[in-house]
Amino acid sequence: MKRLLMVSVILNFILIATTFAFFYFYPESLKYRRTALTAAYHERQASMFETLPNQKEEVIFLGASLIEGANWHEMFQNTRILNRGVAGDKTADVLNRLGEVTASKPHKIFLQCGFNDLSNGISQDSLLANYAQIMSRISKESPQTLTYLISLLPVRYELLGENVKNEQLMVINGKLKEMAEKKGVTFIDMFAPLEEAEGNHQLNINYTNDGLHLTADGYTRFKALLQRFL
Amino acid sequence: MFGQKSQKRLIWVSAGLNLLLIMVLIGAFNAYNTQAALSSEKYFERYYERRAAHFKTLPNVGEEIVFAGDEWIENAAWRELLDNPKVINRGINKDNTAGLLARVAEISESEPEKVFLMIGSQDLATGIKEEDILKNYRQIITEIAVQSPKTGIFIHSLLPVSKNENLRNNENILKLNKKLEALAAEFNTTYLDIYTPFEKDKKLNEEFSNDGLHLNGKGYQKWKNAIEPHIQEPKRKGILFFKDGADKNIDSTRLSPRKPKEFLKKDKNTISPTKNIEL
Repeated sequence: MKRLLMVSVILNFILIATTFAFFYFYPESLKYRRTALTAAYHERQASMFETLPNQKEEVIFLGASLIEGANWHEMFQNTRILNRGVAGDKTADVLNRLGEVTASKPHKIFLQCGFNDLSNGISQDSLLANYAQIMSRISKESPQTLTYLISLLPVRYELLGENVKNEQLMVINGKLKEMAEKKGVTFIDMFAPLEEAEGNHQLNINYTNDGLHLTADGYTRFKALLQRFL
Repeated sequence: MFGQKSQKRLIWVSAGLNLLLIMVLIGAFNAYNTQAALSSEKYFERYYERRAAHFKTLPNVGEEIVFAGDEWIENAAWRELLDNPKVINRGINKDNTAGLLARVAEISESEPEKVFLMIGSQDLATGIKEEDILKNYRQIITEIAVQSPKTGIFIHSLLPVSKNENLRNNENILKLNKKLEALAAEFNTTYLDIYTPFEKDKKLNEEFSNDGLHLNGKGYQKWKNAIEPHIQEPKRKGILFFKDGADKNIDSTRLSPRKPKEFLKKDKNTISPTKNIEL
């Protein structure tokens, strides 16, 4: 009888410890699994880009899911346009595959990324440092290339949550604009035009279905805003 | 230390606590997994919605070579890979046969020169019955052929996998591939076997993948080499509705793929395509 009680009490402790450990680690492990999936995807796409032939006078759309999510060359009816977006990419990931982009000495690069840095807890400072590095590497590796820096877009809290604040995105956009001006690069503000109403700082409901990514209407607006830079 | 009676009571309490904790753990584990699955499902539903709507906004150019399907299609820059400006991409991550069927009108509407299909992996992974997969597939082909009779249709096999999955395993994939091959024969279209070139030791050659499912750059090069001759093919290989020789009077080289709708309609009426097809 006594032995049975001992076993049961020991099991109590083990299970209590396991329960705590579970609630502590399991959500993290899910997050880790997601990160691993994203990293594997980055690796595959980067290796695919490496195999593609370089063309003359390329116009490259570079970034993460926002860039990947549209068939730009069809939108603009311009076969010089190439898509180099990889969903989940952070600024460091773009840096990592930048060599493939500059190797063809493209005519233009349209760059938009950075949100994934923030949603993965990477600091604003290292985001900006990576941006600076991307730009200086482009101008070093392909001096003739015209770079266009597209701002971060607002998010919509009610659909996405408030992990990343629009106020922070605006601060970063301000710094990116400064950086662009200093380097003589064109900065394109997409934040204000895609806001629901002036000063409300929420991504327009007509332009998104998840609070972050653009719907067809969102891309149509995006295209209209970009048109004159092509 | 304790009397018999209180010992007995303690055992009950302790055992009860154990049972409760085990139930909490199982419950939490299930809840987390369901939540993860649901949020991923929701994510891809919204993704599909966005992509399908985006495709509709894109202009029809004519003489397009369309790659349509799931993420195996979406993830490759086919136009660059094949170095052919007519190639466009209509792949959507995690799409299945029902999803492609729902948006196939956008593809056939432009009366493309060729359509390369690869779909069905997600169906297998989510336990959709083979007969339903084939039913959807049949409708996809039929819809393209009815809307755009001159479009050449190419049916890709599914690739082997090396990741351990319950439903999407190589046995089921091979079974489906066999049916797809028969389907292609039935419609007199081309079946493209890309299972065999990617197979090693009865599973996906790991040289071409880093997750046992999806392809890397080397994998897409191999795929490209396997299908390139079909991109160059000047004329479509087979025409579904002309199978019985009805095409003898029509010089298909003379007809531009961008013929006026009037003509198309007449064309369809004379041949009355739907009669030959079991929908």
